[in-house]
Amino acid sequence: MALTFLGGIHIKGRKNTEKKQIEVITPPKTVILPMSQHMGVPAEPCVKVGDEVYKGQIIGTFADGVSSPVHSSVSGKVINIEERSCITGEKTCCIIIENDGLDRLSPHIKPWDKRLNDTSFEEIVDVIKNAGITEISKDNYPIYEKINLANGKVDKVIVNCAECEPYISANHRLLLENTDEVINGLKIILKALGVRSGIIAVQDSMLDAANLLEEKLVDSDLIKVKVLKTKYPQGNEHQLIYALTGKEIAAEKPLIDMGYIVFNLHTCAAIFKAFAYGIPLVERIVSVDGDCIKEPKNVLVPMGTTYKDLIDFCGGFVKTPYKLISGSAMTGIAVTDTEYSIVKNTTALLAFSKEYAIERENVFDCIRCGKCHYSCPMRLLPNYIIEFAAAGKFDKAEDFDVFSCIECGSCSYVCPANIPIAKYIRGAKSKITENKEPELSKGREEDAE
Amino acid sequence: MTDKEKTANLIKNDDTEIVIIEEPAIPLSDNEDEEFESQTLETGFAPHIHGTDTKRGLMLDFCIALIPVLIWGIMLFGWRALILTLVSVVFSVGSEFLYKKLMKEPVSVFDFSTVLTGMLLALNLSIAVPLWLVALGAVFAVVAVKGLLGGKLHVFLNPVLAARLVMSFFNKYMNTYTVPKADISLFAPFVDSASGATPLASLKSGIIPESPSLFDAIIGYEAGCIGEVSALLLTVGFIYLLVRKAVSWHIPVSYIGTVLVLAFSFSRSIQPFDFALYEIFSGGLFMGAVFMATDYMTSPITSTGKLIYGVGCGVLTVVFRFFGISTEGVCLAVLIMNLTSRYLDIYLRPAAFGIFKKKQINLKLVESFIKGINKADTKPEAAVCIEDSDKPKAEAEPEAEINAETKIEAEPEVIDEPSKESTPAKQNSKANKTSNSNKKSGKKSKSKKKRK
Repeated sequence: MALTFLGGIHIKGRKNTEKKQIEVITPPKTVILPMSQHMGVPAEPCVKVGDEVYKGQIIGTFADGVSSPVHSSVSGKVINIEERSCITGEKTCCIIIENDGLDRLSPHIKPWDKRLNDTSFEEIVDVIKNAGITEISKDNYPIYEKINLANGKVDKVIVNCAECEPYISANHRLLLENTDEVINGLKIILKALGVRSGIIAVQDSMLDAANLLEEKLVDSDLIKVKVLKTKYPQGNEHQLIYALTGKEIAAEKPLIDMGYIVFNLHTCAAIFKAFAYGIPLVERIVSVDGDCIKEPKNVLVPMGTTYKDLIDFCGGFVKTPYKLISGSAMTGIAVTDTEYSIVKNTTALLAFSKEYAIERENVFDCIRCGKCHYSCPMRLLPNYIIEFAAAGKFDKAEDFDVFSCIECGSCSYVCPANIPIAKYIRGAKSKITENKEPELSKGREEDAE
Repeated sequence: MTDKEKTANLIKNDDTEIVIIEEPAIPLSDNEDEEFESQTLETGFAPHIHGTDTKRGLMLDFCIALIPVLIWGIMLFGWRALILTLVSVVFSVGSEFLYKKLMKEPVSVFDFSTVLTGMLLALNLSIAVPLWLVALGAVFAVVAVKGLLGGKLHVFLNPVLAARLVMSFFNKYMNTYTVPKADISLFAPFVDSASGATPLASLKSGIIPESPSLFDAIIGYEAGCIGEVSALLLTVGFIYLLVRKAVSWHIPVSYIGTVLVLAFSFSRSIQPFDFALYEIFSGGLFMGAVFMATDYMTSPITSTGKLIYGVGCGVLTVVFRFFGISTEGVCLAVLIMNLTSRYLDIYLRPAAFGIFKKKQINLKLVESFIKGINKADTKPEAAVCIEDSDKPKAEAEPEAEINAETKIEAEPEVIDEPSKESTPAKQNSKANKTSNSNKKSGKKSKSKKKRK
C-alpha cells in the first residue's frame, strides 16, 4: 500500500502536459530579473545600464545577511535598472536585459574539476552559494544557508517529488527525462552533510518515473525510492515526513531539529548542474497549463522571462482568461498582469476561464457537514475556527490551533456551502497577530477583575 | 541650518527619484492592458479551484437515499403515504419560502434541504396521522425549529424530531400504527380502525412477538411509521450515502451496535439474542440511526464525538424503551443527544497534527503536583500547605499576587519581593494561606449569593 498521511483530498489530476517532453523556449527578447527571488535580503545590482553581460554572469551580489546572488540568464545588454512590483505586491529592484541571442557563456563558468570524494563541505557550500540556488517552494530559502543550518543535525535527506496539485507535471517530466541529474544532485547533498541515507519520495501517479529511478538505484544502498499515495497536500514537508516515517511534527517546528531535511527535486537538479557544468541557477522548468492555453507544455525557461513571452510560446490564449495563476491552482497567486517574470520559485503558470476558476457566488451558512475537518491534513476544526473568528473570539480560535494551519486550501476546496474557509482563516491569523499585544493585556485586566 | 538644508535636499532627491521610478511604470502598464486585455484578469484568494460537492448535491443525496424507503411505504400502506409526504414537503417548502421572504433573507428553497425535512417528517409519521397535523408539523419544523430556534446561529435540535415530539401531544393519532395493507381512504381525516401493535410493545413485556417474523421485521412487513419499517431498505440508503461520502459510518454503527449490545445483555426474554435482534429491527431505530442522528446540523463533526454521540443515543434509546411509558425511545434519545453535539466537538476535539496537547496538560499537572510536594517538604508550615495545595494551582496564583499587594500595609519589608519570580517559599505559603482563606470566604459569599 502506498504511504500516505491523514486527511487531505483527492483532486483530479487534469495534467495535460504529463505525456509531453520538456521544450526549450525560443529565447525571449528581454528578461526582467528581480533582485529578490529568494527569502532574505535582496541582492545588490552590480552592473550599470549599458553594460554587456554574459549568460551566467553575476548581476546581483550578496547583500549582508541571508542572501543569494542573481545571475544573468541570457547574454546581452543591460537596458534598464528600475523598481517594479513583483507578484506579492512589493516593489523590488529589477534588472532588464536585452537578449542578443548569442548565448555567450560567462568565461568564469567551468565545471567542478575535483572528484566529489575529495570535495570538502565548505567547497560544496561555496559552489551552491555562488550558483544562487534557492529552495523551489513558497519560502524560497537559499540552499547554502539551509545546508549550513542542517550540518551535523540531520540523518535523513528527503527529495520531495510529490506533485499532487492538478495541472502541474514539471516534477514528473524532470524525473523521467533528467533522472541522473536528480540522483547526482542528491548524492552531492548527502556528501556535503555526511549523511548516509537519502529518500526520493515519488507519487503513485508517476510510477514510470519510480521504476526508472529504481532501475538506476538498484545497487545503491544510500538512496531509496518510496512511493506515496497521490493526495493533496502530500508535497507539504510535514505531511511528507509523516507519510514516510509516521512521525508527527508540529507545523511551526523546524524539521532540521527532528533530523530531517527536505529538498525539492528541482533543487537537486540545479545543484548537479552547478557542479557538472558550472552553470548557476538561470533556468527552470515551468508547467504552462489551463483551459485557456492553446498548447499546454512543460517549458525550460530562462529566469526573468515574462509571462507574456511564455504564453506566446505556448500558442497564446484560446479564450479570454478569467484568472492567471502563478503557482499551483491550490496555493498560487492570481496575477492581473502578464508583464511579471518567471523567478526561481515559479512552478507553473495556469490560465483559467470563468468556468474553472470562478469563485462560488452563493455562499450559504455552514451546514456542519464536517468535510473541512475530514480533509484537513492538520486535523483542525475549520468550521469552528471561522465561527469563532467571525464572532471576534480570537482567543478561542487560537485555542483551536489556528496557527497550525498550513493554508493548503483543502477546506475551501471541499466546502459544499462554498465558504472560502482558507481565506477566513488566513484573515483570522493575521488579525490575531495584529491584536496579540492589546488582547493579552485585556485578558489580564479581565482576570484581575 | 546646514543639517536642515541637507535633509531638505535629501527630501528633494527622494522626490525626484520617486518621480523617475513612477514615470516609466505608467505607460508600460497601459500598453499591457491594450495588448492582453489584462483588465479582465481577476485576482482572488487561493485555492482557485473548487471541488464538486455542493450543498444541493448533498441534500439531494439524502433525498435519493430515502426514495426506496418511500416506495416501500407506498407499497405497504397505500397511496396515502405519498399524499402525506407530498403535503409535508409542500408545506415545509412553502413555509420556508414565506419565512425567508418575511425575514428578508435570501431564499434557499431550491437546495433540497427543506424538501429533505419534509420527506423525513412524513416518513417518521404513522399513516393514520391526519393531513392537517402533518401540515402543522411541517410548518412547525421549518418555521419554529429551523427558523426561529436556529436563527442566525445553527439549528441545535433536529427539526423533524422536534416537530414529531410536538405532534405527539396529539396522542390519539401519533401512536396508532396501522397494519400493512389495511384499507385506508386517501383523504380521511384520521383512521381509528386497523391499528396494530408494533413488535416493540410485546418486547416491552418481555415476550418475543410471533406475528411479524424476524425476516418480516427486517424487510419491513410490519406495523409502524411509513418510513421506518424496512431496516433493509434503510441500510441500502445508508450504503448509498456512505458511497457518496455524505455520511460517515460512525454514528449509525455505534448507535445500532450499542442498542444491540444493551438489549442482549439486559434482555427481558429467555432468548436474549432474538430479543436483541427484534429490538433493533423493529421500531424507528434504523431510521433514527441513519437519517435522524446523522443530521449535519445537529450531530458532532469529530469522529470521537460521533462515536460517543452514537453510544449516547443507543443508551438513551434502550433506557426509554425499557423504562419509559412509550414503546419507542429513538425520537427523544436523538433530541437529547442533539444538545450535546457541540460540546462533544469542542471538548473532545483531536489535537492538531503534531501538537501533543494531552501530554502537555499532564506535564503541567505533574509539575504543579511536584511543586506542591516540594513546598510541603521544605517548610514547617507544610501541614497547612498540603491541604491547600489540593486545590488547583492555576486559580491560586493570580490571587496570590493580589493578596501580596494587599499585604503591603501590614509588612512593608516585602513590598517588592512577591512580584519577583524567585519568591521565598515562606511568603508563597503565606500568600497561599491568605489566598485560600480569601478563597474560602469568596466561596462562602458566592454560595450565599446562590442561596439568595
